[in-house]
Formats: sequence, structure tokens, C-alpha cells
Amino acid sequence: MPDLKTLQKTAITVEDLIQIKRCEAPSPEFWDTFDRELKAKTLQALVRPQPWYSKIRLTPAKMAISLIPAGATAAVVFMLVSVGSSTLSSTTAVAHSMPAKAVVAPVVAQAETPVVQPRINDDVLLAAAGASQFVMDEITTENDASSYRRVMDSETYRTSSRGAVYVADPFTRTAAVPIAAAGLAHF
Amino acid sequence: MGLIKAIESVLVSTPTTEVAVDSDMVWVKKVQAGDVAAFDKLVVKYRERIYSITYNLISNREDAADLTQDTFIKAFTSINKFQGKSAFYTWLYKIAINASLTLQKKNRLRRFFSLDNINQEMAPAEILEALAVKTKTEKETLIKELQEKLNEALQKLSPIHRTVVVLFEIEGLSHQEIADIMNSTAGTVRSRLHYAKQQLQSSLQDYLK
Repeated sequence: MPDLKTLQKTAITVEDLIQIKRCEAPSPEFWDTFDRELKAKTLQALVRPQPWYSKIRLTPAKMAISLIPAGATAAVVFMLVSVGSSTLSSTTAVAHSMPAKAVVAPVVAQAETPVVQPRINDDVLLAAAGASQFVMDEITTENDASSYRRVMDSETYRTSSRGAVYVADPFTRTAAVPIAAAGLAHF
Repeated sequence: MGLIKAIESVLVSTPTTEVAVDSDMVWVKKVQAGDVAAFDKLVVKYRERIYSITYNLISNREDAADLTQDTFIKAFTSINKFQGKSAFYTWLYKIAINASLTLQKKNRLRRFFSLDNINQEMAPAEILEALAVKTKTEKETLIKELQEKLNEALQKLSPIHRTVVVLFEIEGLSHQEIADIMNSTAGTVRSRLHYAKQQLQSSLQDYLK
């Protein structure tokens, strides 16, 4: 005959039934085998080589990271070059409006280190372009024998909607002629 | 003053789980620093719970054993990725649940039960006796039959609903803990649990009359 407690427990719920699931458990021996197997598998995992696709997956990221400094350097160099060339072209274009007397430094040295000077009047330049050669500067020294005229030809500049712009400055020793030379356009 | 005392009592009484979580982090940090033996402590602490979760999700003890081992190996190999933003057990449970559900998806066409024995000493005697009276069957027979029916009923649930039932009713986690593991809210967990229990009720109605 069922006791009073059992009779009182007439309404069995889902939660009561699920409680029985909590009592399903493996035997204690199971854990010995489990630990042994787990240790072996863990060691295998430690020495297992990485699959080939993991390297491929990492390569683009690594490449991107390694390219960052190179890219940055290239960007800086490009920026310096572009800024430098624009400065050079503008300084070259304006380099010769100074009075000729002011230029006393050696000819070659001046060509290598351009000096920022006021811009040449484009009209004067264009007028001089009619001649095959014209004098840009006169370089005079104490000793007249070593005085030169700085000679340019019309190909050293080009005209555009923004005016005359020098594309090159061929002012070297060969472009310098003695002051005594004649037949050159002068401005 | 009363309020301060109340706050103090709350602060003093809550940390049972926090202490456990902190002690987990101590072991986790040791493993991350290269102390492989420290991982054994975490295995010993959580192996029964992980096994229970995987077993109750898939109702197959051999697969559950493999899944439990795989869970620990995965945790071990990727422990450096664990940053401690959540509790270690939450992370471990997530791995176990994902592995179980993935395996079950893969084996959905060849699913069969392989059940552990019910420890009758631990089983609720009152309920079993009441059921024996109701169904007029022997206790031994009843236990076997009930175990099969329970596992069948659980497997009829969708993976999400089964997970919620296993974590709440069998593992005893709170709604919030389950929500953290399943990346949802406590409200969603409650509603899933309610729906799952309705489903179980209809599957097990022979024992609930």
C-alpha cells in the first residue's frame, strides 16, 4: 500500500520528470579512460602541424602589415618629389629677374643651387623667344676675362596658358659664353 | 544606515560564483603563460558538467565523451584568444554546445541513443514511487521506460529549445547565464523555456496525468 507521502505527490510536473535526467551519469571508471584519452589528444594537438590553409589565410594579412612601412615611405618620397619638382620649376621660372650684377657666384655652382627670385615678366621672355639664343644674365667678375653671359635657347622654356615656364635650365659652362660674344638677343 | 547594511550584505553574499570565476581566471592565466598542467585543474572542475551538457543534448554517451574531449582540446588550443570578457565556464559551455549541435546536424540521418545508467540512489524516490503507482509498473521497468521517453521527448525539441531546457532544468543555470551563453536576452530564454516545457508536456503526458 502506498504511503501518505506518495499519495500526496499526485501531480507530477515536467520539472519532476526532468529531475530524473540529472541522475544519468557515467561510472567512475569512465573518467579514468576519459582523462587518459584527453591527455593523449591534448599532446597530439600540441604537436600537430598547422594546416596549409592557415598559412595562406595569414599571408595576406602579413603582407599587408609588411607593406605598410614601404607604402608610407613611397608616399613620403612621392610627396617630396612632387613638392620638390613644383618648387624647382617655379623657382627656375622666376630665377632670372634679379639684376645681372647681383650674380657673382661661380657659374656652375649657381646652376646647381637654385635661388628663389622674383618671376620673370612673361612678355619679355616671349619677346626673346624669337631669337635662337638670348642672354639671361651677365656674370661679371673683377677680372673681365672671366666674365660670362648666361645664354639660354628658346627650347629651354615653353609657353602655356599660364605663361612661360622653363622646362630645363641648361646653364652650364657650355651655356655660358664670354661677354664679348655678339649677335645674341638681350633683355 | 539600513540601506548601507543591505548593500553590504549583498556585496558579501554574492561572490560565490564570482570567486569561482576569479579562480578560473587564475588557472586560465597560468595556462596562457605556458603552464600546461594548470589546464588539468580546469578539466577536472568542468569535465562532468561539459559531459552532462553534451550528453543531454545528443543522448549518446560515446559521442558525448568525444565531444567533451574535443571541447577541452579546442579550449586548450585557443585559450590565448580568451580575454576574460566573459566567464571561463560561459566560453567553455559555448564551445561544448556549438560542437554538440554541429555534430548532431552532421549525423541527423543516423541518430541513435546510447544512454548512461540512472543512479537510483540519487533518483527522486517520491516521484518514482508515485509514477510506479500511476502506471502500475515495476520501478526498474519504469525507470528504463521513462529514461527512453525523456530522451525521445528532448530530442523532439529544436536545438535551441533543447539547449535552454538542458541548461536551465538539468544544469541549473540562471536565465541570465543562459542568455550570455546563447547570445540572447533573459526574456527570450524565459519564453523559449516556456515553449519547450509545453512541448515536453505534450510528449510526456502519459506520465503527467
